[in-house]
Amino acid sequence: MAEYGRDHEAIRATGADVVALSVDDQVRSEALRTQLALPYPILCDPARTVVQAWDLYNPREKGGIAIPALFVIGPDRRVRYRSIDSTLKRASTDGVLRYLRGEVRGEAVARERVHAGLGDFLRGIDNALRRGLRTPRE
Amino acid sequence: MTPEVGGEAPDFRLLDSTGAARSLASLVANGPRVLLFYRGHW
Repeated sequence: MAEYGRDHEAIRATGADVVALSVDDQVRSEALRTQLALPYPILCDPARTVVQAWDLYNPREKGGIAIPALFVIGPDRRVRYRSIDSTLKRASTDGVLRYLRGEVRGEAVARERVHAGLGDFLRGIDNALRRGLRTPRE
Repeated sequence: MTPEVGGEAPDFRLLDSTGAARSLASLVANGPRVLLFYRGHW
């Protein structure tokens, strides 16, 4: 999330843009957008309509959340690239940027281990204390 | 069903965090979009 904010100008320079999607409601999503100063929109799918239709739904955690995934979708809505990720591994931001620049093919985009930083951990605790823990399908 | 590479992604309409209605078709109208599905905030 934050990486795509940081690299947003470089992504825009390729002619592409970014949008994020989760099952979070507007309050949580806007809190994230503000805290990370994200320059792209966040879509809210609290009814789990899209994550279920796209088969990217994990019902076993936190009352049902999205499976991490990344798509590059063209103006014709054709999927140009996709990476179905996990909490441990995902398509590298640098690799996606190189793909958008036409420097590598989709299958050559590197996947990298995810390292949640101390800032992520502390922000999660702070949000839980101030705004409450998530409840199933709120 | 998860859209495959080369396949057409089904259109959808959702509100964004500011309350604006957004469709996938409108988001990609001016160029490719990186669409990130993420687990949630906390």
